[in-house]
Amino acid sequence: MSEPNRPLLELAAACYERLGMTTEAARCYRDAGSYRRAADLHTRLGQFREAALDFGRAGQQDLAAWLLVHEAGDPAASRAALAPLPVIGAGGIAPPPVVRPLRQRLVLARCDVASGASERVALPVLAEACTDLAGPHARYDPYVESWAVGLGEAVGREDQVALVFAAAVRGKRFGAAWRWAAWTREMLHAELILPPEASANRTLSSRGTP
Amino acid sequence: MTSFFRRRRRKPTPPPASPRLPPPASPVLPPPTPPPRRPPSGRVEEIAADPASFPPQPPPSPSPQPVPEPAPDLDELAAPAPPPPPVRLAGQFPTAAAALNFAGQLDGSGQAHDLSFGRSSGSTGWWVAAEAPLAATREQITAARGQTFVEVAGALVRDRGWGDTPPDAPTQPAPDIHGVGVVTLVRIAGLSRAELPVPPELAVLVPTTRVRWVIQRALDLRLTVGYRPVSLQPLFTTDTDRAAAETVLFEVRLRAETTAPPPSFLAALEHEPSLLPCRPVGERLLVQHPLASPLPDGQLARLAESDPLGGTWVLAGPGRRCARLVSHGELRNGAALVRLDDTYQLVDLDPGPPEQADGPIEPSAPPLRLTRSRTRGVEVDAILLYDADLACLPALLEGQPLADIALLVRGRDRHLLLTPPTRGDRHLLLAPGGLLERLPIGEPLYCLGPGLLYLPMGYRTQPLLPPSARSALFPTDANTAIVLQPDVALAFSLQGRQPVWTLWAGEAPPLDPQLPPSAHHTLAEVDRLVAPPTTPATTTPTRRPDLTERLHARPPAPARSWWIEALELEAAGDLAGAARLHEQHNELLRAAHLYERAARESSAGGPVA
Repeated sequence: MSEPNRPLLELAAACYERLGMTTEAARCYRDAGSYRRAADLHTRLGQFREAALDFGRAGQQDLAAWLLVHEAGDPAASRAALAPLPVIGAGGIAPPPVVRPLRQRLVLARCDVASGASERVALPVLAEACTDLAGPHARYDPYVESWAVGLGEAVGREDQVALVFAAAVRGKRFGAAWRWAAWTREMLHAELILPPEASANRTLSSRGTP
Repeated sequence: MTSFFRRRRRKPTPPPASPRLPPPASPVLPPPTPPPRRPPSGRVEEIAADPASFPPQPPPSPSPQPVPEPAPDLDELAAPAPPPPPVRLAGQFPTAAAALNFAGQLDGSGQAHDLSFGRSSGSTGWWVAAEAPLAATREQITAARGQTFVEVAGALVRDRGWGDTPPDAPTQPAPDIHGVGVVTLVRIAGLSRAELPVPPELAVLVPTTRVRWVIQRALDLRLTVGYRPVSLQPLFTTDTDRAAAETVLFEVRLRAETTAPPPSFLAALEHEPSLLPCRPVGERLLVQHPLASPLPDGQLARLAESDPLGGTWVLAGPGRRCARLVSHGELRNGAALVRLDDTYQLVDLDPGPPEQADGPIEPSAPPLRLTRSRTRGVEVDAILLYDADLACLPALLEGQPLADIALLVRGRDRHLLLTPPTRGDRHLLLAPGGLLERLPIGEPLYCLGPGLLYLPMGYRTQPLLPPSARSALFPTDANTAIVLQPDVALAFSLQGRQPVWTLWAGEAPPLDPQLPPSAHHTLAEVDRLVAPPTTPATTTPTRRPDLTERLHARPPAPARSWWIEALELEAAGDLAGAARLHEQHNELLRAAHLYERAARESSAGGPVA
């Protein structure tokens, strides 16, 4: 039995998506081999294990591992998803996909916290994330900021979350001030007041941020 | 009515002061025959004759010579306490399985005598009566979810739950009890799944058509195989015509010489509904694997061996039937049924002219049929309707969006359709892109393709056919839809299709086009100029209708809907084109369904799982 026609399946998925039938759309995307799109739809549906499965098939084990521990609350499955396994494809056995070290440490720290470890295991990783975000020459990784914020919230350290946002603002990350202000309003029910330089960044970023 | 239990010899003690139960209120059983008189022994004895005594009595053996007991050693200070005296007691159990469980324990302990069974009249309670030590038996009854009763002064009294002495006289009437046989309990308790080790030997009851397959697979697994024909008769029913109810099949004995048969092979045997794998228990009992009765195997085997009707008991679980197995002949080597080598033949010392050997067996294609199967990822594309269903369609579809595009294709030739006379002609209800809705009438169909080839939901072809084979066997075109059913293939001509709303929308009133007066004048002038002049010689009184009347009388041209074009594309096999047409007209659900069908039909196996 040959593979089904992928472009036709993607057309079917697009129709389902326009109809709001997200489950059917995700199924068609998965059958078509568009695992990343299927993972996004499963994440939107709250089906995090299915989303992690699709992320894994798409070669993004770190995203799968983060979903498993942060959303599904399964640190064992998350660690298993991070394990370096070779990928068997059409061209033979390929080496396991490379996971960025900082992302991996964030996921592992989140796994430790979910397993009941002390908040101290998270502090060094959060400090490393702050360094990464504040560095002006580092390549921007949007997942580092959101995962660090999630880790800080998981250990109940709003001060660490604020440090993460502050590092992102110092590093001139796009929209960081706006996200910090939104987080402050939602979590602390307070209005964030930043120095003028950061406020300018915030105003600039608020225009481009949906 | 006679007392269920009574004493042969009453104790010399005066009767208790507690109120006695009247004889009818005590547990009673009408004895079919009066019990034989035994010398007085002071023990409680059952009066009722049990239909089947339990446990089965072994053949009488010469009584052993009495062995003199050794003299007790006076130096021992702590001599073992004498066993407690047995009392006549009974346990009431909510289920037959619990009663059998307790009976098996009690019989296995070797401390019980005169075991008998009863059932409460008008309720589901089961009774097991025996003469046994009170303290130990009470615990066994409680463990089996039962309640203990002790006979006191000819009636049963609920046990106090402690102490070795029986409780006081009864204070409340006990229910009526009638005796039952242990076979009845075994039948009602049935079999339940048990975690049993894989038996070293299996007996599989196999229909004739499957016996070669089972033997071939067992030989492949290096099992020792024997087989023989057997006949099955009813086991529990004795008043039926045994010859009429007899079923003949094969018993295949599988034995592993070194290890047990592979668990995967056992699982395959268990899941095949036409096979019955059993484990032999004793010489005359087969119990379906991996099930077990609440009565232990050994006692069950003794029960089967004491059956005077002979044969081997076959006890089967849910969905199967128990039987009495009568074997015909001895076990034969199973390899004889399997062809080992096509070219091997015995060669004499003087070869001489060789005999012509058997030729290779030509494979014969089995007839194509439909078999039940799970159909995943398919939607309802059409519905097969009968005459009686048509009357329900207006109530179901009137006012629904589906009525806009659903089409009804009436069956045209009842003789070719082999229509059952009780249900009437068959009709097909379909829609371009699929109905995609389940209606509570008719038989839902899914489109297997290529073209409009429909199968009932939950069925697939056996064997599986590639699209080219389906096209060759069932040639559909733009005007033909084929519906496969387990007994017949129906061909519907799409030329006779009609919108489903014609079932409930009757004839419309005549259309009166309201043209403006200027148009009337213009048409009259054109009519006057175009029409040939009338000659006075013509005497025909018929008047040719003028142009306005002809315009009024002309029926409106039927509009060719886009979905008719989509249906024709679908029937022609251009599913992607039909899907694009649906997508252009914002019928996204049907477009998505058609895109999916097109994608899956491009694979070799089609949509069937």
